Amino acid sequence: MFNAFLKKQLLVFIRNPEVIILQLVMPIVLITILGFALGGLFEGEKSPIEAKVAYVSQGNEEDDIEEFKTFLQKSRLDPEAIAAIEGQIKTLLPLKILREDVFENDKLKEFVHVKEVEPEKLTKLKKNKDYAVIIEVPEKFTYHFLMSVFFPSEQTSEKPELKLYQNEDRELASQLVADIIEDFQHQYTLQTALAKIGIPMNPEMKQPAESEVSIQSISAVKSVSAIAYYTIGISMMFVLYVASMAGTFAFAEKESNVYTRIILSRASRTSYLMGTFISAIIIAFIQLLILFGFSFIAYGVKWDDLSSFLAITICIAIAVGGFATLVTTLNYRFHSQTFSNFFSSIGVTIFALLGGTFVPVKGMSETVAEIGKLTPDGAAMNAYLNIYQGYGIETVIPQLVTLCIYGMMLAVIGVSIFPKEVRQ
Amino acid sequence: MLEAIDITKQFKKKKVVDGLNMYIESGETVGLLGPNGAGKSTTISMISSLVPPTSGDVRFRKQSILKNPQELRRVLGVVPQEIALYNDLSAKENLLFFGRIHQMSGKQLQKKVDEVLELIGLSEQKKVITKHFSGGMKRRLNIGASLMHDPEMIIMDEPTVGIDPQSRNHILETVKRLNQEMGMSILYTSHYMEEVEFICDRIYIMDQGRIIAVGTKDEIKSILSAEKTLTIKVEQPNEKFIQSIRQEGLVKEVQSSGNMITIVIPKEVNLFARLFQLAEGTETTIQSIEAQTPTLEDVFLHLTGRALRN
Repeated sequence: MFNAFLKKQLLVFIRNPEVIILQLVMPIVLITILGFALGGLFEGEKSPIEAKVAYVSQGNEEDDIEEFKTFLQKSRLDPEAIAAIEGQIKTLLPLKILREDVFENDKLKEFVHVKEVEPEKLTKLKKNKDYAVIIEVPEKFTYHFLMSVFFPSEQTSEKPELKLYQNEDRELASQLVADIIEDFQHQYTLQTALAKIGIPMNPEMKQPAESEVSIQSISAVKSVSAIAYYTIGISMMFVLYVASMAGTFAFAEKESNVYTRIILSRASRTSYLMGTFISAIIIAFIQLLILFGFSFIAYGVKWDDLSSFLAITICIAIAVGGFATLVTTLNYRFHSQTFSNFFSSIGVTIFALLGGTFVPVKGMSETVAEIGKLTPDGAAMNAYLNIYQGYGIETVIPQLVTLCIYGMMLAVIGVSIFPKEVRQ
Repeated sequence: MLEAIDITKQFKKKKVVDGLNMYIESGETVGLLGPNGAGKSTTISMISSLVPPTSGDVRFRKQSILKNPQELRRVLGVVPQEIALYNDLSAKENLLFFGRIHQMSGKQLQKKVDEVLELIGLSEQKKVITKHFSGGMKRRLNIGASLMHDPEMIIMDEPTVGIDPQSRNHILETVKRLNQEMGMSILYTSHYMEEVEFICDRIYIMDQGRIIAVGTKDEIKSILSAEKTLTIKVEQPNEKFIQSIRQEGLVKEVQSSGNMITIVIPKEVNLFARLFQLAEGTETTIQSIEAQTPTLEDVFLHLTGRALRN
């Protein structure tokens, strides 16, 4: 029986020219127009990740070295040992290596831009959302560092620690810088320990091996073109129209008494609604495949991770199925097509605006962006954009869960409040 | 076989059906006659288990269907007044769909589709999309869809509304065949007297939610056996003439429509001469006067004071 509902629904959708126009022709036209007209908004970005780093030093590295040398002279070490330590100091200065060798690395400079800022501006700087990360070097950092390396048992020695302020609004970029510094720290600690027992510092240490991995992973991230962005955005908007169409067709079934026939055939209300749910999922899935397929053939918007792409497409289709079920139920319950009309005119537009169909929500307020992520459009767009840029499926699990919850929850609500008696 | 016992349906404060009793025996063809708004469709909805009555009971083979309608639904076909079909599917696709929701499949389904298409005379047009059909063809397919599961009983709600005479005849013949050749019980509602007279063995006449007469055609017509109907055709409608007829003591009913006036008088009364006098007095020209034997229409007029199609 379920197959009957499915087959019928597919035929009804396919045979309606207005459906084809609304579901396929209009989004293709919009993708083309917006993709080309607003291409400039996206072309300025060489990389999807750009991290601005502020470097604030509360002390002075030269003064710290001098203070350490004074300490050396006053120590009980013999002159030969003092000379050896002084010889090693130049190769051990972590801040110098971090500034000159890590952040000045050619590959990294494409993504990370470091600016030295005076300490007195630190408070103001923390409120500046432009910076992904602020690195604060505390007073006497280098002195304490050298003391911890050569005189770890000295009581005056403090554990040298850099302070890192990460901007939560720039999660990806700030995490990237934090990872690079952490990698650097691990490598550095290891090499220093080896140096202390007589194994010389590896010259390549100046470009830590793990940092190299991070840099390469950033290089692998694909930038999003306007056409790719609008293929995703417009598709996410128009796929929701499947739900309102399903509701409209269902209401027509009720008005023409076809639903009466269905009930008299001893089909249950649940199987009728499940037919709506599953057919909406399949239609939404096919629609998205056609739209993304067109974009691939016409504009070269290619998905490298096809299985992740399909996973997201299935999840958004499930969400659409949930909406279709609920809209159908509300149309039946209130004996009116108002809910289909409301959903297609107001609901879809609000979801599209909040979800970032037309402009990326990152440019909006923090609250709007957060709400946007919870909309089906926003969740699906985030997931698609991440996968398109080359991130793994694990980065989009929350979005996939959100979409599936939408679908299942709305379907359950739809079934549970579907009217037992149908008004004539 | 199917019995409605004192059923009432009330929407808010309005009683649409009020204490209705009726029954249909196996193999019987029953007509439910009444004007628009009489409550026929609501009655059908209650009898076919779609809408529960506000009070009263509906029983199928002595069992109430209010709590368990499944047994009735298994053997019942309903032809709604609306064209309850998918306009974007072909005739065959529609029948396949309605067969499938009745758990039919495979060769059995295909065979039944062919049989029904043959019966409703749409075999040649089976691949035509329904929206391209004429009104009559849609009505035939509307009946076909309710025959897919071989029902024992079929309820038809005004199945000939708004169609051409040829399609109407085809439908009436089909309904007769369903009853006579296939033994189906039929409840046929209409406000066309001649259809009900042609098809039905027994007739219920309904008005304003109540049954006002019941019986065979002859039994119902016998209500008017003491009366006769005169149809007067005048050149120009004249209210004075109609009023003067109404004032005649022996005239029981007067109805007018355009230049036609229908009156009901006792059978033994000869009113011809008096009518010409009244016409002369009100400057009305009578073109013809025709005496008729009673029809169901006359019975309805007699019982309600209104014409069926008003």
